[in-house]
Amino acid sequence: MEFKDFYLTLGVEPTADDKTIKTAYRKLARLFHPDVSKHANAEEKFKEIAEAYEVLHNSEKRAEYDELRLARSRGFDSRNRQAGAEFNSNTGFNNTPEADQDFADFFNSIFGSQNARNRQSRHQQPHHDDVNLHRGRDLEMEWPVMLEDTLADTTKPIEFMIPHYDIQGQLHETKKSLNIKIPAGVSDGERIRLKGQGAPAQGAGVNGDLYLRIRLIPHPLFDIEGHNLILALPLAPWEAALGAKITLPTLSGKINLTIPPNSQSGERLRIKGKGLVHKHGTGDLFVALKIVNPKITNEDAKQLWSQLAKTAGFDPRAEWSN
Amino acid sequence: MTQTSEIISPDFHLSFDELCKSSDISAEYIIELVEYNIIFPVRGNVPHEWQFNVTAVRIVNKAARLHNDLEIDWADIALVLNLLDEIEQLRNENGQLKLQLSRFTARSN
Repeated sequence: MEFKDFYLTLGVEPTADDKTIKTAYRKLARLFHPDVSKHANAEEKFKEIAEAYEVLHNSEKRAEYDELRLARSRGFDSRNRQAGAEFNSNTGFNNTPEADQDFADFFNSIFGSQNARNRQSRHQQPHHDDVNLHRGRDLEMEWPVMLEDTLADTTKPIEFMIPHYDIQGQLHETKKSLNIKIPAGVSDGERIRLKGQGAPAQGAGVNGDLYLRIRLIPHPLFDIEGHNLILALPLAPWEAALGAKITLPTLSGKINLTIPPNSQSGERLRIKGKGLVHKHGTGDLFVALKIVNPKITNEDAKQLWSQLAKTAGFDPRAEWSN
Repeated sequence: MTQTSEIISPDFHLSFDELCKSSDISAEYIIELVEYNIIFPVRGNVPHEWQFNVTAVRIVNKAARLHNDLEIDWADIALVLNLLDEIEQLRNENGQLKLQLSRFTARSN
């Protein structure tokens, strides 16, 4: 394991006092904490910061680490003088297999015994390890769902990998298949819990649970606004001007819609009960009108548009002259 | 490969005991989170009767991480969680509005 310069990670001098270390940690933690940060590698970065703080904010661990750091630095100096050892420009230390092992032993003595689940709970309070020792881990995964599948209770198959340890402590993964009932009206980001379908227990304990985080797959036509759906409906200028009867797609099949004469681009027509299903009923479908002009490709069409321009007496920018 | 043809129905609630086992903090801290109104039982008057929405697990674990890692007081966590939720909601809404706008600004022919 390569030596980690915890002072460099927190951006403080090796002589920094506890208050400076704490301030540096708080500043970086607020910046990179995965629950608040949108940085691409926030989780990895926060882990490094938390490791550094775990060591440096505890006087005993810090003293032990400083000793290791000093020994390495001295070792480097003497080797450098004697043989011109290679200097590691990233850490300022010379990483040799023996020195790396010393650091690995130190690192494992602090972090090695904690399992991944509890790493973030390290500063704390009474924990549930004693209770949870034999309980299988909860699993959480994203589950993409089509909008159409949210209208009524639907059953869908799902396949996923379950991590588990064998008697020797080796990690394995087993594929598991389930048929799951998607309740009508699930929404984006909602979590559903499947009791006992998570990782298997060690020994006599109970299985963990499986949590599915619903992700509604964006629809090529419909946008979501709360429980309502929005559909942009392209109209020819004459359909908007004269009115028209249109066959309209909805999530549950086609319907006929009458466009009133003198409709404007951006206007919305409401179709009750054709939106998304929710606990208290069904949302509506809003049809947003979008007037689309044809490309003029022949002389006849050009003549007709010119004629309209002369006879309509229409100034689209009349409001500007007020 | 484990396979089942049985149809599994989701659970919408979990008990206080189940919440304790699924979360990263102890029962006494979960009671504290209820007292601070960070999570609230949808049923039951006393802890052993409490039933929570499934989202409580995520909230409890997030609250524990914020408390431990950023040293935020429990009393302030409700505010932080509300603000984080609001940011997420605004981001989603912004994404939806951008998508809707693109349907009007994109060339259709």
